[in-house]
Amino acid sequence: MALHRYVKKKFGMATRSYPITDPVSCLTTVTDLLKNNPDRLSYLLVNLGTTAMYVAWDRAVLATHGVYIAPNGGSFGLSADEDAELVGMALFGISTTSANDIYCMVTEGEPG
Amino acid sequence: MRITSPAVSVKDIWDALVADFGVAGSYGILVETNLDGKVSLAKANLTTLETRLSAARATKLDSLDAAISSRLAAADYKQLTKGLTEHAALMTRAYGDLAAETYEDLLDVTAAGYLTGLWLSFHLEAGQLNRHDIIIEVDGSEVAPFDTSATAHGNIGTPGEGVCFLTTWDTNWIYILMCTPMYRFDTSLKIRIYQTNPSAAYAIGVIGNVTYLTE
Repeated sequence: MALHRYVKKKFGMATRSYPITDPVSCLTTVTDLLKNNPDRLSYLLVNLGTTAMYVAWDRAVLATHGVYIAPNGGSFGLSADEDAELVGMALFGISTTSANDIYCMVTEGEPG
Repeated sequence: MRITSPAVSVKDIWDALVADFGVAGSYGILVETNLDGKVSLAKANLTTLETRLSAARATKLDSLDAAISSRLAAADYKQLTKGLTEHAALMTRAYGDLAAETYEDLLDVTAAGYLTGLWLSFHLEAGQLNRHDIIIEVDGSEVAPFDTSATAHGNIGTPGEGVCFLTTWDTNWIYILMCTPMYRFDTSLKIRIYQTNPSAAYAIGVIGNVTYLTE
């Protein structure tokens, strides 16, 4: 339970982590990857596909508007410690050539 | 915020190469096929070149042989004469008396060289064949003294001198042809006639030709 005590002390609250099961792919059209969630403390998004993808915090995400995530294991992670409210904002993505499978883990704090 | 990118895999590199250069394997085979063809062509060209070079070399060597032979032939003569100066002299004496015990020079050369040829014809008084000596004097010494008597014909010359004369004669004419190739003289060469009778004069006429080399 040491981890629990540490995390609770660090964040000042209990937390829980879970995978995002929908969506499981980032399409070649604007895809809602994460909904707006003020309880979210951190997340990790992995591009398991073979082509590049881009993420942004608005629906205007494009190869010319967003953060590049490399294929075949490129990852994108945010934490409240570093990124503050950005962690809770909705996240949108788009793949450049073909749909990419993604894997996303989220950590939330207890609602308050 | 952490953004990571995976290391470029070998597959990525390979795929990029295939994208740029064509399907893997076929590209390699194409290269190999082309190389084999090019190598074969190069080998054929080298063989042709080698053949032509051999032919050219043979032709050149033949030409050189011919040129060398020609020059050797010319050099042989030059070597034989050792670059000496060639001379030919006509020797004549109008038929007439030669006084008792008197020399008369037909040729008088002061030089070093070689006597190479001698031809002499004499007109003598009838019945007076033994009156004159024909003398080759080399470096002050008589080499082949002989007289014109009826018995003095055939090979005449001092043994060991290296000079050989063939003679023929009739009543009035004696011919001498020297057949030795070269006879050395270091200081002088004289061809003389000498009238041997101590008291009387006898007529003699001479015509002849001598060739000699001088250094």
